[in-house]
Amino acid sequence: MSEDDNKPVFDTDQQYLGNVYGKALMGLATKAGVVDQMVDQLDSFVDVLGQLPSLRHALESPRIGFAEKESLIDKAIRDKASPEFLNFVKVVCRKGRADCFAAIRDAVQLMHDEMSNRIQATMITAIPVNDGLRQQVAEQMSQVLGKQVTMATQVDPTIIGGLVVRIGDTVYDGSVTNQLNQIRTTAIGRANQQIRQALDRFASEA
Amino acid sequence: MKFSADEIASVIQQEIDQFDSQVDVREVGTVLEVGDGIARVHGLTGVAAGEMVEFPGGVIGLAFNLEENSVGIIILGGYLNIKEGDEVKALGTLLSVPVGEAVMGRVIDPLGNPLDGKGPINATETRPVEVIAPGVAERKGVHEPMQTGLKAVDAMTPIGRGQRELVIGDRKTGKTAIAIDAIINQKNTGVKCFYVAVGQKDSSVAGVIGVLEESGAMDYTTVVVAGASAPAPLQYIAPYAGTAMAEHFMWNGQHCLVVYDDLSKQAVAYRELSLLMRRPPGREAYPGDVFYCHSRLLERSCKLSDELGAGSITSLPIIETLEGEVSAYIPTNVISITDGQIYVQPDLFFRGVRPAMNAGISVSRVGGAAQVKAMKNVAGGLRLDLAAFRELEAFAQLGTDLDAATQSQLDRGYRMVELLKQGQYKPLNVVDQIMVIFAGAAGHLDKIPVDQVQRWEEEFLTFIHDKKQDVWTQLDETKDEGDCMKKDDHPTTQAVVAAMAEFNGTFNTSFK
Repeated sequence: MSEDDNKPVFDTDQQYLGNVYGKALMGLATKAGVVDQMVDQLDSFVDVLGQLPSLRHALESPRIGFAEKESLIDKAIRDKASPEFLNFVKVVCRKGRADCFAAIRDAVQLMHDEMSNRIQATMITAIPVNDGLRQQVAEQMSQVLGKQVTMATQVDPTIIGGLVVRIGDTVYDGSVTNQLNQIRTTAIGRANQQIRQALDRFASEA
Repeated sequence: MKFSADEIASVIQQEIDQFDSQVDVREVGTVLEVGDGIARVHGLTGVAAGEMVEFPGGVIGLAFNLEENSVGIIILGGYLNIKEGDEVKALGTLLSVPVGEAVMGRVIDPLGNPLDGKGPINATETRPVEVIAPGVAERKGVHEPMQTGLKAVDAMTPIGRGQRELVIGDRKTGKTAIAIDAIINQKNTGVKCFYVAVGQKDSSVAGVIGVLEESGAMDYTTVVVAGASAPAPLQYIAPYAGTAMAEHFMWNGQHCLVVYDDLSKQAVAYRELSLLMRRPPGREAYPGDVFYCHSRLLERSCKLSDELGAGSITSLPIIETLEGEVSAYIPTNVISITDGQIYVQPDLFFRGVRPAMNAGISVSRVGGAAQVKAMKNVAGGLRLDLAAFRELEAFAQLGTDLDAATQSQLDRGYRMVELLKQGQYKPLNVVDQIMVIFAGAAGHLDKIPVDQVQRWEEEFLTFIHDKKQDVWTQLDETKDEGDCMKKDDHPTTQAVVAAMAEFNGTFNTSFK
C-alpha cells in the first residue's frame, strides 16, 4: 500500500460507486464462501494498478473498446484470479467504472473489517514509536471498543507529545497541543470571570 | 486603579495546577470544498442536523444538509480563511445565544458577539436559537394592548401583546419608521424591545441606533445586526437569534416587542444558501420550505397562559414589496402567517399622509380584543368611514354638485385624514389619541379649517396637559370602562366635551 492510499477518499461520487460495487462483490463472495480470498485478490489487483499506471490508463480509457480491454484483462490475470473475480473486473470495466477500483477496495475493506469485527485505526504521535507500544495501544483500544483494532501509525511533530488515535471520524485526542489549548481557554475564561466578579481584588492601589 | 499582574497570574496558575488532563474525544470531518458561506465536509458521520461544528480558527458552522457521503455546513462568520482539507470538529451542541439583562441596550451580531465596543456580553444564561414554538395548551388569547403610539395604527389596526402584525410596503414608505415609533413608545411600559436588522445598510442601522439612543429607547432595546455585508448564513439566523433573546423574557413573564427588518432580505439569504446547497428551487427560485422558515419563526411570537407567567412576544415583521406587488411569493406567505398587516403606500406617503397607512386594506385580526375600550368606542367605525370617504372623494373629484349630507361627510373625512397624520418619532399617549380622535369623529373639528387641524391638535393637547390635567387623568382612569366616550351621559365624555368646547372658544382659526 503506498502512502497516498491511506488518505481518505474525497471524491464522494467515487465513494458512492465504490460502495455499490463493493457491496455487490461482497455479496458474491459471501455466497461463494470465498470472502478472504476475494478481498486479497482485489487488494493485490489495486496494488498492481498503482504500480502499473499504463495498465490503469488502458482500462480507464474510453478510447479503447471493451473487447480489447477484455483480452487485456484475460492475459493479465486469468491464470491467477478466480473466475468470479475475473468476471467482476470485466463487469466493472464494461460499465466504464475502471477508475473506481481504489474506491471499491476501500469499501470492501471496510465491509470486510465490519464482518470480521475488526476496525482500522491510525495512531498519530510526535516521534516514531516501536511496535511494542503500538501493540499495547491497539490492545487497549480493542478492549475499550470490543473490536479487534488494526493500528497504523503516523508521525506528526506538531502535536508536541502524547497520542492521538483516529478511528473513522472519531478522534481520541490526548495530545499535548490539545491539552495546552484547553488550559489556555479555561484559564483565560476563569481569569476573565474572576476579574469581572472582583475588580478591586485584581487592582493595586497605585 | 491598575490591574496587578500577580493576582491574575495566581488565578491562571491555580487553573493550571488543577488542570485534569482528559482525552478529548471528538467527531471530525474534512473540508471538501468551501465558498460563499457554505462548506461541504467529508466525514462527520454522526453529526445531527442543526448541530454546531467548529472550523480551525474557531469559526462556527451549522450542519445544514446531511447527504449520503458529505455534510453541507453553513458557516457563521468569516469563511475566507477556511481551506480545503481543514479538519472540522463536531461540537455536539445546538447553536445558542447569550440572553438576559446583559444583552439589553447592546448592539450585537446574531451569535451574540458585541458590535458596539462596550465590552463583552456578561450573560450568565444562553438559549438555543432554534426552538419549537409553544403549543396550544401553553397559550392564551391576545388581550392586552401593545400601544404603538401612532394614531392611525392604534385606532384602526390595534395590536395586542402576543400578536404578529406585518408592516408591508414599497421601499421608502416609512415601514421602519412605524416600527421605531412603536419601540420608542414602549418607554416606561416594561416591554423589552428587539430590533433585528437583516440585510440592511449599516448606515441605516447606525441611523436607527442613533434615534433609539437619542430618545432614550436604547435602555430597553437590543439591536441584532446582520448587515448587508454579513454572510448569508448570519442573515438567515439573525431573526431566530433575536427571538431566542426575547423568549428568555417571555418565559420569565415579561413582555417583548420584536421588529424583524426585514424578512424579505432574510428569505433572499435563505434562498442563496439553499441554492448553494443544491436544494431544488421552487417559485421565484425560493426553496420549498421558505414558508416554514417564516412560519416557525413567527409562531414563536405568542401570548403565554397565566400558569406559564403570561409573558408575551409581539412581533412586527417588515416585508418590502416591489412596486406594490403584494401577490409575490414572500409577501403572500407572510401575510397568511401573520395576524394582520399594516399596508403602507407610496402615493399616500408622497401626498403627505404619514404614516402612509392604507386604512382600507390594513387589518388587525386579533388586536380588537386588546384595544382600550374608550379607543374602541371612539374609533370603532373609523376604518369604514375612511374607506367610504375615499370612495366619495374620488366621486367628488368629478365636479358634481353634492348634497349637504355628502358634503359634510367629505368635510369630516378631510379633517380625519389630517388628524391621523403624525410626525416621525413622536408617539402619542393613548389618552391623547382618544381625545384627538374623539374630536374628529364627534364633529368637534367641523368648524376648524382643514389646514389648521394639525395646529389645533397640537395646541389642544398642550391646553389639556397645562390646564385640564384633571380631565386627562379622569379619562386615563376610566378608559377601560365599556361606556367611556361612548354614551354622552358618561361623566368622562361630558368632561372631555366641556374641555373641548372651552378650548374651541379660544382657538384662533385666522392665525397662520
